[in-house]
Amino acid sequence: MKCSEFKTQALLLMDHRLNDAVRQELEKHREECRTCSEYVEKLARVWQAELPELDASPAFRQRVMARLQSESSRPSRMAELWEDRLLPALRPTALVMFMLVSIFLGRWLATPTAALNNNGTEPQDMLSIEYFETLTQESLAAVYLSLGEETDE
Amino acid sequence: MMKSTTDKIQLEKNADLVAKIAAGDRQAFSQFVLQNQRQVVNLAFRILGDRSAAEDIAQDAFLRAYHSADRFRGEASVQTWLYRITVNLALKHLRKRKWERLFSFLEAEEINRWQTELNQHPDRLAETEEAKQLLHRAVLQLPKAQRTVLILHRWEGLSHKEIADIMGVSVSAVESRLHRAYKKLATILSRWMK
Ligand SMILES: [Zn+2]
Repeated sequence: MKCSEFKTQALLLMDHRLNDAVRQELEKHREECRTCSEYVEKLARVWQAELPELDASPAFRQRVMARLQSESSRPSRMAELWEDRLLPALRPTALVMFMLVSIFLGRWLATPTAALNNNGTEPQDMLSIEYFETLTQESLAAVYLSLGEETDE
Repeated sequence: MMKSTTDKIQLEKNADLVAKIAAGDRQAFSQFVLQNQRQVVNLAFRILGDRSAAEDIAQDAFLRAYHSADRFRGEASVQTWLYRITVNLALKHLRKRKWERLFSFLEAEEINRWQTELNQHPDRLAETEEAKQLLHRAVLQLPKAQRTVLILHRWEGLSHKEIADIMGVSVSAVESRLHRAYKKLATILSRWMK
């Protein structure tokens, strides 16, 4: 086992989240490797720490009540439904649709028919397959970024 | 033993309060905020790592709880319900300010300072503010779903099932996210603790 692999699994080891086979392998490395056994002691001290805490500020409740008071009408349930359920569900669908449209558009413009219709009146390079390939990649990147971290896990 | 008894009394009270809130009782709502504000603000802060954003999100969470109290059916505990509202709002907030992560290099100096502290006084590290800060910064580097699952499990002490209910995913999804979070966090810490 490499030291880097040991370090990656060190927290799982400390919190007993590994099966016996993997755990024994790690314990064996720890006994044999001085660097890792020292490292794991240091890591344990950080891992024992709590996360910093934050209490509500003294005026917290007052602010919440004031906001409640100032709300003239409650947000409609449709708005909440749209924001919480429909919108997140639609995002991946929108990406798939966009990709399909990009592919079809790229293919259609790259076909001889499209080139023939061109008649040389438009700049040839705008209709070349290379141009549409860059366009598609950039646009896809933009769409991907706008999707947030939906796919990050 | 004592702790669980106290918790139970508070939960029952919470459930009673929610029923009153559903009927439009603002006094009950005020009491509900007072009883739960510390937990909600703290959870938002742990996920967001930003004090003022945490207060804002916590306020939003209570207002949303007020408006949806009539839909609370008691399938989950009041705490799970309130945590679900808070987590949803916090994650939505993180999606909006994604670009801020581009500036995370500004934190490099701070991390450096903690590293020095870590190497100079390893023995008293767990009690120091530096250890807490270092750990929190490392947790904040995780992708938001992994981060949330880890915080709820490790520091809020919730079960896999409770986390699954809060995040609206299966228990096995919670477990695999937790596993990845542990590994990724260990990798981040090993880079910082050379
Ligand atoms: Zn080693």
